[in-house]
Formats: sequence, C-alpha cells, structure tokens
Amino acid sequence: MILETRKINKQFQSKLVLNDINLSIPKGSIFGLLGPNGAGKTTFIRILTKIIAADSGQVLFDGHPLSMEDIFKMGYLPEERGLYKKMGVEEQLLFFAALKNTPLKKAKDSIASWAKKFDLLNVLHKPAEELSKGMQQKVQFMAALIHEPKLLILDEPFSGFDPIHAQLLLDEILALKANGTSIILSSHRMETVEQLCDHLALINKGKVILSGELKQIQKNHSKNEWELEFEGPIPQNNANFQIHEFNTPKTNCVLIKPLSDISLNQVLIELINQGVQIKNIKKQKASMASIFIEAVAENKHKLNQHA
Amino acid sequence: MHKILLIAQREFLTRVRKKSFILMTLLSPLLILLFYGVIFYLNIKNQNPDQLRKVLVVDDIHYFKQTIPSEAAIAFDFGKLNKHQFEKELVNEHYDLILNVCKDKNGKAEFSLYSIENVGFMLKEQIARILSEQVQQTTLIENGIAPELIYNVKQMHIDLKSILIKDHNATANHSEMGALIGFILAFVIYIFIFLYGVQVMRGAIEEKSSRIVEILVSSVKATDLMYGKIIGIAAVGMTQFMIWIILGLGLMGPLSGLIGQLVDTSLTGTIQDNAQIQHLSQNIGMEWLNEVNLPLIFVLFICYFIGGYLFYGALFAAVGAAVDNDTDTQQFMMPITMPLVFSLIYSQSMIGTNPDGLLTSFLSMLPFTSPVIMMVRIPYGVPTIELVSSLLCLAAGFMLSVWFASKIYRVGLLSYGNKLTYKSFWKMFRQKE
Repeated sequence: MILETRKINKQFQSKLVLNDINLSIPKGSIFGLLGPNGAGKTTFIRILTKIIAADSGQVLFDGHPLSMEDIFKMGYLPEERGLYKKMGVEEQLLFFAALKNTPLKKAKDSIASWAKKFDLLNVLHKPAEELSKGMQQKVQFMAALIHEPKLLILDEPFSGFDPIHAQLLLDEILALKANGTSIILSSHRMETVEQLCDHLALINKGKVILSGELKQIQKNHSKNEWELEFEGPIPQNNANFQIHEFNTPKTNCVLIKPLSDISLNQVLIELINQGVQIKNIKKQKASMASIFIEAVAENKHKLNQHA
Repeated sequence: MHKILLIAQREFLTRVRKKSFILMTLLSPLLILLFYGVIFYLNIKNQNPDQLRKVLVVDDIHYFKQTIPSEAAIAFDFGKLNKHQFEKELVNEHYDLILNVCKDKNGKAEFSLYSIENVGFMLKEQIARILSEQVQQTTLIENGIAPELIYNVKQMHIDLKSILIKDHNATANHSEMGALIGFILAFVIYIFIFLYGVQVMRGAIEEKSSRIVEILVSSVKATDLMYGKIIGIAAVGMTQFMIWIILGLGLMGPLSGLIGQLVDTSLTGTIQDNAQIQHLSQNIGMEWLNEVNLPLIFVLFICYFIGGYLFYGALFAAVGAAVDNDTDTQQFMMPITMPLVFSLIYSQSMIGTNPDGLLTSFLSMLPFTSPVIMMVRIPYGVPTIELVSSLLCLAAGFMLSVWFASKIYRVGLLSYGNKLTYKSFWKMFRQKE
C-alpha cells in the first residue's frame, strides 16, 4: 500500500466533514475517489497532502506515519489551480520544484522532457498569462509532476479541459501508471473513473459508502439483466421475463430482465419461439452512476433505520 | 527556514525585475526633487516678485503724516481720488491697488484695500506690516524718540538656546533640527509601512485569486509562505531605499552647488544685511550634529522600522489572505491604516508643542503608533526605560500580530466566496488547523 488512512475525522465548526475514513490505496494503480460535490473529497486530499490536519486518525505513507518528507514524494494537482501570471513558465516550474526539494539539474531535465511531450518548449520563457488556457493547464499538470512523485494526487483533473487535451492527459495518466506511479484521482464524473481506475472508494457526506476493486464492485452490483440485439419481430413480455427499452445508440436493442431464477437458456428458448432473430446478447455491466445512486440510497435507508 | 528563503527570494526577484520597480525607483527621487524644486522656486519668486506693485494711498483723513517708504516690491504713492473713480484708475492699470483711509462710524481710522483682482494673503499681510511699522515709527518720533534709536532697537535680536537639565547634566538642545530629523524618519517609516504593507496584502490576494495558493501550500506551510512574503517584500523596500541613498549621496555634490548658487543669487537681492545671512547660516550650521545623538537615532530607526513593518505587514497579510479580491479589502484595511494615519497626524502636532505628556507616552507604548510617534520623540531625548519598554511592547506586538495573522492566513487562503465580516476573521482565527 502506498497510502493508508485510519479513522480520519475532520470537523469544520459544527459540520462533520469526514467521518472515520478508512482507505487503502495500493501501489502502482489508479485509485478513484468518487463522490458528489461537497462529499469531502477535497478535504480528504488536503489531509493527505498535509495542507490541513485531521482532528483524529492516522495517515500511513508506504507503511510509516506520514511525515513532511513524504509530502515531497507526492505530486498534487488541486481542483482550484493556477499559475503566477507574470512569471515565466520555466521559472515558476523551477520554483515549484525547489519547494519540493528537487535538485536544480533534475528539475531542468524533467521540465525539458515534459515540455517536449506537451509541445511547450517554445513557450517556456514566456510569462504564463501569454499562454492559451490549454497550455496553462498542461503547465499546471507539469507542476505536479516535475519532481517525479511516487504518488500523484489529481483533484478533478479533467475539469475545464477540452476533449483533445483531456485525451492527452488521460494517455499521460495511463503512461505514468505504467511507469509505476501510484495515482489518486478524485472526480464526480463517473465515466472517467470507470475508464481509468483500478480501485475506488465512494464518499458521500463524509463517509465511505463503498470501496474496493472496480471490477469486483461492478461484478457485485451487476444484476441478471441482458442487452439484446435482434432482428425480426420485436421481443414481447412474458411470464418469465420483461422487456425494457434503454438508453443506447444501437437500434433494435432492448434490455431483458428475467424474473427471479429464470436462466438465460430459458429466456433464449422463449425468444427463439417468439421468432426473434438473436444477433448479439451480453450481460449488462452496472454503470458506476447507477451503483453510486444505489449505494447512496441504501446508505440513506440504513441511516433512517438507525434513527 | 529554507522554504521561507525560497519564497522570499521569489517575491524579491519577481518584484525587483519588474519594469515598474526600476522606473519607480529612478523616477520617484526625481519627482520628489522636482516637487521640492518647484516649492523652493515659488518661495524665492514670492520674495522677489518680478513686478512692482504700485499702491495709491488715498488718505481722506490725513492719517499718515509722512510718506510711506517703498519696499522692494511695493511702492506707495499718495493721491486724491473719489471712491467712484477707483475702478477706472485700477482698470487703466495706473495702480495695482488703492489703499483708502477713512473714518468709520465711531470716528476711528479704517483701512481698506481696493483691487480688481484677488489680493493674496501674503501681499495683504506685507502691506499691513509696512503700514503698522510706519505708524509705530511715526508715533515714536512724535513722542521725541530719535530715529537712530528706533533703528538700533529694531536691529536687536536675541538668540535663544534651550538647555535641558537631566541628572545634573545640562545639555544644549537643538530641538528644531532634531524634530526635523525625527519627523523625516517617522515619515519614512510611515511611507514604508504603507507602501510595502499593502504590497504584502496584494501578494496574498494575487496568489489566492490566481488559484496558485493550493499548489504552494501542498509543499510549504501557509505560515512559512506568509513569512517569506513579508521578508521578500521588505527586501524589495530596503533595496529601493539603498538605491535612493546611493543616488542621493551621488547627487549631493552637484546638487548642493546648484542650490547654493540659486540661494546666492536670490538672497543678495532681498537681504542686504550681511549679518542676517550670517545669522541664517549659523542656524543651519553643523553645530547641532554634535548634540543630536545620530548613531542612537539610526539604530532606533532601524528597530522601529523593522518592528513596525513586521507588525503591520502581518496584519495586511491577514487581510489579503481572508478576502477574495482587491475591492473587498477597503473596509478591513480601515482599522489597520487608521492608527497609522493618526500617529502621523499626531506627530505633526507634536513638533513645536510639548512632546511629553500622558497621551504621548501611551501612544509611544502602543505598537500601532509607537514606530512613528517614537521616531519624532527620540531626538528630544526619551528616558531609557521608556525606550526599552516601548521596544519590548513593539516586539511583543509583532509576535502577536504575526501569530494572529498566521492563523488567519492558513484558513483564509483556502476559503473562497464567503461573505466576509469581522466575525469571520474571528472564526478563522479560532478554527483549528
């Protein structure tokens, strides 16, 4: 584990923002931190980066209690991010690197190689305000990376990115993971998380309501529902299953929900009997959005029961 | 400490390299020189007006028994004229002014000055003085005093030395010169706190509004960020002052020659009496240098300068961290700048009046006002015990204000979009890390 938290609590005035957060973030993987706005993600990250202190609880980095030294092994791209407008791009990147105790030579080499990758070599000496928004975002991303962190924390990294830059960023995140960097990615955009993350935790109102490996979570939440592509007559409801329309770009595609303990074989036999031409059938994956909504509702239900 | 220096270094370099810094550093002494040059020029010009004012005295009641002697810029003529002819006479520019002497209701002499343009305060006073002297002299002569005696009496002048007795030691006190030095130094402190304190605040706002601050605080503590900023900006100010001092010393030679020439040519016209010039030059001579303890003043100046800047700089930093943008700063700057402005105004009133007193002693202790107030008082001589306790209060004051500000800074930097009130400052202060 690159990072573990034990019973992290944080209160602002009378509001409990984080409530007993226990999380384990494995090395070399992408860990998704999901939750709606105001769930406590940013507060949690600020505790991990020692920007603020938790009221109680412990953070372990690489097995030992988190120290100031460990902070220099982290790279952090905050959700609220910016640059010194009047300062040269390379100069401020060097400044950020120096704040992370990076030797000058190493920082310069790192800046050069990232600037080449991001096509920023000819703007390194310009003040940041002369750069386009997309370029500035790339510079901000570089600022989190030039000291070659072991753990990279990205808070809503795609917010404000256009699709081209977002793809570029996505590719780089995956490349970093391939090079062994551990990454925490916080977002309220479920698709992003589904696309990138190996592990995730769902946070709502300061509590972890679901966590684990993405594949496992999806498997656990997948239901006995099937996407059917067909030709010929439209499938009809019957005693064993129900037909639902669902949101898909494909034509002639429906969702089949078998009633309890009806096997796929039985469904297929009946469909064939209806004269439906089966082109393709697959189990429907549970979307993170639906899992999330379900988990939140379940959590609320539990709380109500307690009350 | 390493981080603080890094921050300070960045603050210093980015500011010093700005074109506006170089421009301001070079231009402001020139502007100040120009400013004083103009004042100086106008002063000399006032003493030597190019044009002679001609005054027609219409003495209806024969008040003046003798003619009135003309001075450098004013010439008196006697004549007879009707009141309704005054305007015509003035419009025709035969005379600039008409002085009418008549009787008022009670039978006393009444003097009125007629003109078609506004008469300046100085000119009016000058004419009044000439007339009064003339009347006094006439009265004296009429009472049998010899004119030579009157002349001799007028030349009498007493130089008053003030001597302070303390601990059985009597020391000559050149309080005028000391007061001037003190006030100039106090003014320097005032300007420095204002200019650079506001820069600390702006710096914090800039980092906050450009959203760079969270990147920074993920590698450096917010309080270190504040210390670095305050130190870096102080270094900018010091550099600026150093440049000014060097420029000043460099320009001193040629400039003093120039001023000397100016004074020479202008003074010879007005002051015929050599004794008067000698008297003048003695007054601004170097004698006071031996009496005023310059090294002490300098050391204390540095102490109050740094202490005052740290005290106020931290408060400005707190405001900068708490607000979201420049426009919100006004209401929160008020309570900070008020005591500063007050101390300058108060110290102005202190010059020439008694610098000791209960209120003054109190203000000399208060860190809000002591840097300015004490600087004015020091050349007059301040008891050591009072000096030491004032400095201790200032040290305690800036430690408190830095502590207070660092708490605000830490919380304020990361909070956006809140409606800010004085209560929210308190909340920020109370909030745990």
